[in-house]
This record gives sequence, C-alpha cells and structure tokens, in this order.
Amino acid sequence: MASLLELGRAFARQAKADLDTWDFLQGRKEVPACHKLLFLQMACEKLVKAHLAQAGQDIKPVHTYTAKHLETILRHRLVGRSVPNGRAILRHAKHLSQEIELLAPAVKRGGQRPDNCEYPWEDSMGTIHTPLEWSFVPSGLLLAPAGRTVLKLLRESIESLV
Amino acid sequence: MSTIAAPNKDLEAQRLADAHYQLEENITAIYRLNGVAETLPNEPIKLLEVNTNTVPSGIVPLRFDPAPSIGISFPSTIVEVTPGEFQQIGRGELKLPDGWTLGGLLPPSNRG
Repeated sequence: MASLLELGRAFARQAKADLDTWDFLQGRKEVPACHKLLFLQMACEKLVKAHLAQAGQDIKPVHTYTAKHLETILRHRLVGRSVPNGRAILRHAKHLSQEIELLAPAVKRGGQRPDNCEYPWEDSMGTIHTPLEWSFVPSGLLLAPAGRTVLKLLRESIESLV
Repeated sequence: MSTIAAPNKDLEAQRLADAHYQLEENITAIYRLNGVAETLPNEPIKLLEVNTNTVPSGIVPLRFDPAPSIGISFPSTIVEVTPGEFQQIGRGELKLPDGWTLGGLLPPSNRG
C-alpha cells in the first residue's frame, strides 16, 4: 500500500501539471479565461489535497478545501523569509482563494454565486450567462502585485512537494 | 572542533508559532498538539491555531515537510480552527485525532 507521503506527492505532481498548463495558456488570446482559470482552480485544490493526504486525511471528492486552507499553505512558505508586506500578501491570498474556490460549479455559496468556469447558469432576472463571456473576479485579483506573488508562492508550494 | 546542535523541537515549535503570529493577524492563540510518538524525530511539530478569520470545518490537519533552510528541521502539522471550534475542543465536543492531546499555549514571543 502506498505511503501517505507518496499519495501526497502524487497529488502534488498532478497539481504541478495543472499549474504548468495554466502557465502555458497565459497570453493565448484564443483560449477563453474560463478554461485558463479551470486549471488554476484544479492546481490549488490538488495542492491542498496533497497536504491533507500527507497528514493522513481522508480526501473527499469535494471542491471546498481551497478557500480555507490555501492561505495556510502559502503562509507556511513565508516563514523565515523577510517579506515586509507578508500580511498584505496573505490577505490578498485569502480573498483570491475564496474566489478561486467559487470557480468550481459545485460551489455556489448558498446560491449567491452561480458563476463558475464550466457550465452556463441563469441569474435571478432570468438571463442566461456562459463562462465563455463572463468576467471572473480572480482574473483581476491576479493582476495586482500581491496576486503575482501569490502565484509564485503557489508554484513554490507545489514544487516543494514534487 | 565545532559541534552541530541537535534540533530542539520545542524551540522550533515556538519559532514556527512566532512566524505564524507575525504573518496572520487574526490568529489569537497557538497551542502545541502532542502525539503518542512525540519524541520520535519523524513525528511532526503539531500546532493548533485559533483564527478569528476562518470558517469552521472541524479538525483538518495539513502536513508540511521539514524546511532546514529556515530553521525548521522537523515536519510540521497545522490545524486551524475558529474560536468556537476551540471551545468545542475544550468541552470534548470536537475530537482531536486518536492519540493527540492539547498541549501548552505558545504565546507570541514578540507581542507586548
């Protein structure tokens, strides 16, 4: 039977492939933002599941781990480093991770946030929206300087487990 | 002849806690969690962090590898809970994993 560390490493390898694909798609205008963000959402979720697996946790097939735990993982990457705006980066990471979790169609925050990066949805006015034409919150958050730092920490965190 | 000091788990736990207090302003308290194999070198430093800016999700440990370059030579496990969940742990309503017990408070070294 595989060890917990091996299982965690397997999740991390898959997360790295997701993040590499996210990187590969950047700058490609023919690829919609929803498809790019799908890979980012999957990378974040698998990173969290890698840490859970290594702790011996039963990994449930749900998409609600990122909002709570991604910031904790990124915080750990900042330990021992001189980062004067570390708290601001982590506040941004918290907001970003909550929005990234909402990209999964199963996560709707009590029906208040049906926007997701896979399936069309109908709003309260009866208007149908598709992910293809939607403007996603994480896209803007990632453009901020702290957003770019979050992406670097995310990659570091994934690669530290591979 | 120079000697290399053996890793000190208690000191490293405090160092890790201090770093987390510094980076996350919403952490109000950090406690050690003790396991049955606490003296073994591979047994992680286990911290229970009470955070006012998190959502309740029960006891969900996250495991981290050692990071000798920043002075953390033990693996570590972080459990983050809300203040309400911490009270539930105290009342025995929320159970820690088998063999784990709540240890001492690690107050921030550099706060007031």
